[in-house]
Amino acid sequence: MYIYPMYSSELIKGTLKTIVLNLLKENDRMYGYEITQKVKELTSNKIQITEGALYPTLHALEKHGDVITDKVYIGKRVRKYYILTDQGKKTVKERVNELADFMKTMRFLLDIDSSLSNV
Amino acid sequence: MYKVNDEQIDFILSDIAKRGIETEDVRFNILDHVCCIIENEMPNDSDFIEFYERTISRFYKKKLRELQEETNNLIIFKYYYAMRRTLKISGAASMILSILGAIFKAQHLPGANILILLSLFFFAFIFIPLNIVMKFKNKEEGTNRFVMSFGFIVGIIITTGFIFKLFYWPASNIIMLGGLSLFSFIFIPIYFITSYRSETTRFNGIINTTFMVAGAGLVFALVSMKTSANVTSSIHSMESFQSEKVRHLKVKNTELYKTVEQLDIKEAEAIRIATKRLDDIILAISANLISHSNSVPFEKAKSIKFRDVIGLNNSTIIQREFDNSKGKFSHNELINAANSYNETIKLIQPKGVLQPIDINKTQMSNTILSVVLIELTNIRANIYYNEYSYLCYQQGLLAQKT
Repeated sequence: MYIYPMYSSELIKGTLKTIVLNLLKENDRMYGYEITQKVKELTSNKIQITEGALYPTLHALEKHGDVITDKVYIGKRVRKYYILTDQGKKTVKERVNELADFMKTMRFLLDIDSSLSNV
Repeated sequence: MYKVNDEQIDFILSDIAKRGIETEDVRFNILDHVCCIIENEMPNDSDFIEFYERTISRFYKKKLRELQEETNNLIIFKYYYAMRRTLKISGAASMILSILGAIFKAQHLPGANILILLSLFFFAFIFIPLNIVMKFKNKEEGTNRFVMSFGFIVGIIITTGFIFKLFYWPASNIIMLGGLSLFSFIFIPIYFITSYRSETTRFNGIINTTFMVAGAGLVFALVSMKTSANVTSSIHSMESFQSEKVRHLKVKNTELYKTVEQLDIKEAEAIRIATKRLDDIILAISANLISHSNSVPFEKAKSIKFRDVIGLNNSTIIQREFDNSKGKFSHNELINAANSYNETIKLIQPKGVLQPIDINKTQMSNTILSVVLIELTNIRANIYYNEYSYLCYQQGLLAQKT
């Protein structure tokens, strides 16, 4: 349910936080819709974040102090911008490094390089 | 680009609320997101309501309420961390305080009771309740949660009993005995059966049951629920010995007064009056305590013998009628009477023969009825012995002269 086309949800379930945090690192402040659009754009529609997964994740990040919010009133609407905190910056680094390491291990474990060269 | 108007915003907001989103923050997040989608993605020719329905269905699997529940879980999860921290701190605090309290108590240092009270308080009213809450959060534990929570509640009862016992509050034995019985005869069997049934918990269950039976047995054995027969009989013989001594001294002193009468010493009269006054006060205090304990009138209580006193192990009467009382039968009144007695004997020659009465050295506050009654008789024995010493001395002087 969380992230559709291309990849199975199990595969990317654990990476949603990392994706969101990394996006916030590269953009000063973003709001929910912007994040989903940005991910779609960057991955050429391969990864689409659903709203049902995004908002609980953003809430969790806010509760743990990785992001803070900035409310902007647009007429009757309120837009919540998410901004990375210093703690969040540390978390991004840890998360990205962890994922990179994990990918390296998986590459080795599944013998991806050699199997590709075998084709 | 399509622009969502205010009317439509109101419609979306009320619809989101109707679908079970309670938190304002979440409501506005969804509103803005829906508006963004509509404004950016809605084809020019499509209907607003229809497109909205399609958009909002992207947010959930079965119903929009899921988002609210997910958010609630996250908020509770935040408390979960705070709870775990409190659990650790209260556990550590109760452990450290109880060890310190035990050391203080063993060394008779001041503040031991406060340390132990705090420790038991942290344990019974913060640590154990949090444990119950945490057990219920963990849905994987199944029926085990009920068994463990029952055990924790029994733990609270026993600890409360300990606190009551420590401060000689009433009903401490009932609370403790009740808690220990619940623990031994209900909790341990249930725990054993439930853990024995599952193969994974069987081994641990047997080990833990052994520990608990041993622990409960030790507590049962160590905390005597009633004074033993040996102690009771020795208390009675102690009292009758002292009473006998008082009676004997009184007879002796009456004879001695007759002998020294011819000397016509003012001091002898002063001692006689001081002794009589303090003795009367002590007898009145005893009678007052016995009258409350046996529920008889004051006058009748005067003639009740120690062996017929009901509730010798009772401490409530001591607290209410003696320790914390402000009347003429109070601990303070006794101290005042002893002080005025001491003032009198201080003036009497020869110095050092007569021993002043130091109430603070007696064990009379925060204790049980039998101890107070015996201590009171001890004081009586001491003052009559003082009187006896003085009279013997005078008699010696008289013998020398003749």
